Amino acid sequence: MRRYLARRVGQGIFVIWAAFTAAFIILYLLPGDPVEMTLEANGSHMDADPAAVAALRAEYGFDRSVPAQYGHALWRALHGDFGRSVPTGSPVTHLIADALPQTLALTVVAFTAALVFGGALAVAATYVQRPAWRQMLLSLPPLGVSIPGFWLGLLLLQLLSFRLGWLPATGNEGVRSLILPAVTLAVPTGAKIAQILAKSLQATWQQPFIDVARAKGMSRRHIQFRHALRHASLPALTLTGVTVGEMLAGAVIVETIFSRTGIGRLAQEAVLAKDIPLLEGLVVLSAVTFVLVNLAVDVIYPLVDPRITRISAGAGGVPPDLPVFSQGSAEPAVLEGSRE
Amino acid sequence: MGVPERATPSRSAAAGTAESSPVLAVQDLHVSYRSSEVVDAVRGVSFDVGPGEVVALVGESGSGKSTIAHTVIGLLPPGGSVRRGRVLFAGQDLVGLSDRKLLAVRGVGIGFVPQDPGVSLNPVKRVGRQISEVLVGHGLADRRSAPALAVDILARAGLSDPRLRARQYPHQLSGGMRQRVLIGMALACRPRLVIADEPTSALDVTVQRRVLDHFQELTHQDRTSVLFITHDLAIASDRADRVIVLRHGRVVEAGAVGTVFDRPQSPYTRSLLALAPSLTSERLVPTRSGARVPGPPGDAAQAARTQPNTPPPVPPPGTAPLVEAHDLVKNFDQPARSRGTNRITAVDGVSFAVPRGQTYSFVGESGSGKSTTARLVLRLETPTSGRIVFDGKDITDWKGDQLRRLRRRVQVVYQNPYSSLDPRFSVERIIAQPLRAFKAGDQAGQRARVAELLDQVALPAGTIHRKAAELSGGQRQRVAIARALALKPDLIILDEPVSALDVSVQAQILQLLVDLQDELTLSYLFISHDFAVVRQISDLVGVMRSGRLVEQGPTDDIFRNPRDAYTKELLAAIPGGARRSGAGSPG
Repeated sequence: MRRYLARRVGQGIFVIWAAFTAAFIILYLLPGDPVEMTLEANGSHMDADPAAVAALRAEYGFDRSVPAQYGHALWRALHGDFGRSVPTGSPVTHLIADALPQTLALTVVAFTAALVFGGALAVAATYVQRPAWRQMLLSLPPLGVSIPGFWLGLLLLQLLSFRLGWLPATGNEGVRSLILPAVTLAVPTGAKIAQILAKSLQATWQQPFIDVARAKGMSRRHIQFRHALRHASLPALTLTGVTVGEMLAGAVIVETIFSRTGIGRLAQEAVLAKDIPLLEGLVVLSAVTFVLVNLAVDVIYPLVDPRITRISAGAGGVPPDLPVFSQGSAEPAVLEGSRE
Repeated sequence: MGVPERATPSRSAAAGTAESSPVLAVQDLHVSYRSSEVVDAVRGVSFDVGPGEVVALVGESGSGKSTIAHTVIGLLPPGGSVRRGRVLFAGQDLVGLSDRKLLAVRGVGIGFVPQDPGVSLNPVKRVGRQISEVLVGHGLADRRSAPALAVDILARAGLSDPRLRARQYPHQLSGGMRQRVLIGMALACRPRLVIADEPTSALDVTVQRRVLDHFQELTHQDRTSVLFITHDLAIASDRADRVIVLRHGRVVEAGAVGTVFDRPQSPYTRSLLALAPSLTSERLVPTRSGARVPGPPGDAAQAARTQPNTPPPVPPPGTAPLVEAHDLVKNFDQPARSRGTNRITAVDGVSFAVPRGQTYSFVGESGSGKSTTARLVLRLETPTSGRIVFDGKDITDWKGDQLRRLRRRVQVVYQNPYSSLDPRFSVERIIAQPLRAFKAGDQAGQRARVAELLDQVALPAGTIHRKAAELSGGQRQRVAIARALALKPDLIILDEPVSALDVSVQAQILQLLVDLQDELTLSYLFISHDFAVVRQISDLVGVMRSGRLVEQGPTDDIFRNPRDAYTKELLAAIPGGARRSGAGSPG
């Protein structure tokens, strides 16, 4: 288990480094530099003093060779310093730290809702026995997946805020302003979780061990919750790791629609301004999030399915006092012999 | 090991009143499946199972035996329904009983031992929990007392160190241990009837025998009635009091074991008994040498057995063997939990030779290394040490083009014709694939070759455009054999080629293999766990255990005078021993 974790952490660090480097390369291949664009945006492009522009470039390090800039940026990043945002001049870490709680609240609420409602839908759809209800419930997830997030957001905004006035349309104030954005973000994710989990539950119900459980006289409810659900949740768990990335991407759209401050808005603005230091910071942030969530998923895997450690870490999962059996192998003479 | 005594709930109460009447009475049962068309799986079956009686339902696939078992416990798959008839358990009709009422019968009144222990336990639940939930679910224990009782049940089922087993997950147990768990589970509530659906067909013979012995002991102690479902006549004759032979959903013959096996009335039972390979059968001889008329499958097989005294083909002396293996070793490295690696020796110093035009068989239990040895000969694996000589050339280190040329001369037929053929491919496409891969001939030539091959494996020409999914198991295996023959190989490796087939089909395929060997001078490397099958097809036999060849020699020597203790144990474990008396049987 320790080796398994060590390997996963090592891989995670590599992923973060790779994301940092890839982002750096792509940003430098793009034409134009942030200083120029900032001046352009201020309208002071024409009358700017070339000496002052050069000084500004030097301040951000844009005058040095690309490898030198990369080395410098990486060194600073390792110390948690991503430099200053070009257009605003404030430290990147401050900007991110200010925006993070808003986005964190949004994604955590949205994700929890997606998991609870998506999971409940899948469990219900595979539990009901009447074919018509089953069909109806099973057709909901594909519907949810196919609704575009921005369209749903605009619809909710129209209906619940503008027409009915039940919930605030924009802003970051209070819990009530969180509801509409969270719902918008949760629907596609929840639908996806429901779809995968329902499929997986259906497949699990076909397994011989479910027949055995039924032959033991276990009720359908007992089988659904005590046998099928845990067995079926692995694919959904895998999906969860991937969903985090989508949540961050979704936050860009949702925060724009509902005019919320947050990481998504910050990213959108940084892209428009080609704010290289800020973008680097955001890329590393999402890479770290991604790595952490997937690390968590990797740790949860063996808890859900005891066979997992064995597969990924060799014989590591088998208690030391046990011989390792191959699938369906003969009973070893020792075990049988000691009995008879 | 002591048998823990527990309070038996309904058993003692019911025993007084129902002792004389049958525990299970199936009356005029009709079951059908509705998919695209209605299939009548069971058509008017009636039988009784008395208290403490063991009744075996015997039949080939499609006979309806499993459908009957599933009807009795109310677990018909979707689409299946009881058309007519009654299933009386302790006087109560189970047909049409509500789910709620069935819950009170399943597990408590009727226990169920499933077919494949590998997939019948929940892989993500500890073994102990899976047993205690039965007790808790039926109110025989509470959450506090159940775990200890589960340990008792595991002990009773014959598992060593039951406390440890209860804490383990199914994947940490061997196949035999898992089946013991399932048996313990089925008997946990001391039901009056246990349905055992092919309970040991997935296990090795020696394990099978030990598990069945123990099962018999337990059910006998409690006077539990057993409905035993099996395709294996030998097991039925060993384990049952009465036998019911089924075919196409009808009872063909029923009676006491002695009567049915010694004086079978129905021609079907007689042919089943005749076709089932046994340890006393002889090596098959070719039946269609010279003018070959591909008759309908089955005829040839039946004709084959009537000429047992033709001597086996003897190679001209002095001819070098086609394949020689010298001291083969294959190690697999497994990542270990501590430092270093865990080395598993799958093949450990194996030497053998396959003579031209003859059959060399590896026989052994799972994990004995027989398949790995075959993969080494195929050069799908590279040996860790040792040499393989094929047709006088050392092929041990061949790579790339050389290996590809070797593939042309060595072909394989796998165990399961349901997974070794793409169900969406037409028969023509499957058989022509090796021809295309090696660019053998033009399109017309390939088509002619496919037709010729179909003829050789005695498939009607009309099957050429059918999809593999539309064929029966035996037909599929014929297609697989045709594919192996396409490039006119010298050696065919047959990896358990008949173990997935019914006995009657098995006999036909074996006969086909013997005929083809004769016509095309093929050499076979045959792999099987089944001594009886090996006996029918081999010239030479090698017995494998844990990667070592414990004994090898001419077939008759091995069967008549086994020298190694393990060979003797294997031969003794083969089902059918109860009726295998006198008349040239080993041991």
